[in-house]
Amino acid sequence: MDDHAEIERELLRGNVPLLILATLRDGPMHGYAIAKEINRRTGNSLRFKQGSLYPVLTTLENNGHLAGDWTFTGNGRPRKEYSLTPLGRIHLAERLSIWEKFCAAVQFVIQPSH
Amino acid sequence: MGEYQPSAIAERAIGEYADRVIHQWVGRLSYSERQAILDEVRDHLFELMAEAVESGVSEDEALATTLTEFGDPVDFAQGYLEGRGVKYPDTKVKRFLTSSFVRAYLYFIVPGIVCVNLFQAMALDRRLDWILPATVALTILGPLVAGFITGWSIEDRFLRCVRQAVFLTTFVSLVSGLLLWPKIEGLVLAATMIGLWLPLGCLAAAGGAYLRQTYAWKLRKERSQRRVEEEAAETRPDRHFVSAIREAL
Repeated sequence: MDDHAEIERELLRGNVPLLILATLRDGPMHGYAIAKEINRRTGNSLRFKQGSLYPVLTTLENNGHLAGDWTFTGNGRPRKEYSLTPLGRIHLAERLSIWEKFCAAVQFVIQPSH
Repeated sequence: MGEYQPSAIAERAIGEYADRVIHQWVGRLSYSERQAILDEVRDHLFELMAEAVESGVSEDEALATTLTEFGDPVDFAQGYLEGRGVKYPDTKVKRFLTSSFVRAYLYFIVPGIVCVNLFQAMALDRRLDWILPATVALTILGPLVAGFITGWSIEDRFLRCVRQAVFLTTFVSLVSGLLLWPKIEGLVLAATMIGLWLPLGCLAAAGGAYLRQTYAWKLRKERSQRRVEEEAAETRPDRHFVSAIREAL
């Protein structure tokens, strides 16, 4: 089971930016909402620590792919909402294209040869 | 979900989680970045708790689930540093040397040594008229400045700042008073430092931390609002277009 989790984590590590960018395509969200949406879309099948989103969010924001805006919750707590920038949309399209090519290539290798 | 109000115990547990994260970041990330991420993390943790409580579990269980789902604080802090490309000290010695304790100690010891040397100079040569007022001024200003710097720049929770200031001031007082001058001047100095440095240093540390906590958030909010207004004034594609034209020119 631990090996299984470790393999999943390894596969997930490089793809967190893609998951975040794709989730934010539907509109601005804060960190918790992004994690929840990823879990919802995947039916909780991706096991990841929710804290692992934040370094990626900061990097994407620093690279200009996301814009973060501070707001307040109903309880008065500060909250940061992220949205895709035009540059982020371009980056998402690039990542999606690379991902699709990569998946197709891996599929060619792993499917039984005839 | 916005209706959930965490109990004091939950608030404290999340505060302790944040403290453990901060401990790994001091000296490696700027104060404003630390605070900004911690604000996000706190919000995230409270939302996770609210979700768990709404599902019907007790607050204790919700807290345990929340902290498990979010991840160990040290792993989170180190993962964040790695993600940001900040090198994390790999040995205990390096971690100690870059810790908030050592930094706070340095902030306190430098004015302390200046005061002590001036006091010694005054004792050796009483003919220099400027020494006395300068020493008195430094003895009063030293703990105020050192305490304020410690409170402003080192920790985010001012109770911890006060604790650190108490420890450091007592340590500086005893070392400088008893070891440098084992005679009566040393004892007088130790008593002065404990009587004067201790309360002034602690007060200034608490004040520095409080001001930082209060005004750092206000400044960030103003900056954020300004950015929103700027973005509203000119749409983002236009801004990119303008900058592309500027670059072309």
